[in-house]
Amino acid sequence: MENNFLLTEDMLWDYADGFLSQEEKMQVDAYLRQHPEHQSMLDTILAEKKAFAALPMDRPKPGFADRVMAAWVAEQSGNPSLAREKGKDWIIYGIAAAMGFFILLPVVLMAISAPSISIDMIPAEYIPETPVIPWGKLFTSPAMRFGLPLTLLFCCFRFLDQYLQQKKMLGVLSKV
Amino acid sequence: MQTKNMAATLSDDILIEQAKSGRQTAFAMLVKRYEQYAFTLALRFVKNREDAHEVAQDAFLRAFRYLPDFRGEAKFSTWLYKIIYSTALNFLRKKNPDIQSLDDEDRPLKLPDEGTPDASHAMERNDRNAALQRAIQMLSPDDSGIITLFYLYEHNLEEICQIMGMTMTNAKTKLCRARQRLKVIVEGQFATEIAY
Repeated sequence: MENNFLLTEDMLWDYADGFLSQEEKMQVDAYLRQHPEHQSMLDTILAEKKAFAALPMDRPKPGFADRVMAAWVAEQSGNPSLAREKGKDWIIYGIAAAMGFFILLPVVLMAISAPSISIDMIPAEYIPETPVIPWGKLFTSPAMRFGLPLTLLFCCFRFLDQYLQQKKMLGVLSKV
Repeated sequence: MQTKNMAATLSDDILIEQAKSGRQTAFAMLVKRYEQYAFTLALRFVKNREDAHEVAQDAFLRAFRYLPDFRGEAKFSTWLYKIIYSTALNFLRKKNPDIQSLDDEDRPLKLPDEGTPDASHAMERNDRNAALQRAIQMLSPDDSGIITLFYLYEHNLEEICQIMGMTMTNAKTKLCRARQRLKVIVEGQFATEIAY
């Protein structure tokens, strides 16, 4: 039996991994008893196996579980399009749409209510030679008067929404 | 603190039952329990931390979606890793439509880009674990996946067959080849760092 038996490194790996049959295992055991110099090869393999098993696992970014749960909660809320870290963005989109409406409304109203006038009806002395951008008026325009506070309000809502989502998720996870 | 300790002692089966009945805390506990395993395995397949986050998150969501179909015939971890494997495969196929499997045997060995933060961080940690991890990262996705599943997660071949959808003979051969390729990398690139 021994004459035909050739111990290879792969066989030793199979031995260490527990892939050999009982008969093959006994053959390897017998061979190692008769050739103790090969024992070091098995020891190396066992050390490698130990090194593999001792490898530290990679950690995801902090808050990974929170993001997964936020996506899951969003999906469960019945709107799969919100599933990926969107939370309650529909509130934000609604607020943004309302703000956009209020910002554009004065501009549209001004355009509609402006009297239609032909250039021929204006005396030449009233027509400036070069167009002047009325920056002062621009900043006091209704669009800026309403738009700026509304933009700030939007930012506040956004911050509040993020804060509430985070608080809710921490509440869920604190029960874990 | 006591609640957390109690939670840690709950078995997967109990958590799965609770999750099936709609308890969000059970889902959260499952994510907490498996996030590192899922992320590490996803990273072995996709080789990039950002992509691994995406794959791991998608895999968890898919797992939760299909949790009612989980019958407990296999371990939850086996079932989850199978989902991670298929999610990673889909992800890589989207990135590269030519990919048929994650086993790219003829692919040339590629060192991680040393300009990336991951690689530079690994360079700083000049220890054996870091070198071994870098060597594993240089393997093909299938090779690094099978080595991670077998030696790090200590799954048996039968479970690996379920996860990666292959026969026992294939799995055994693949594991053997992965080990041989890892040996070539270790001896060629990390001989000084990894000495037993």
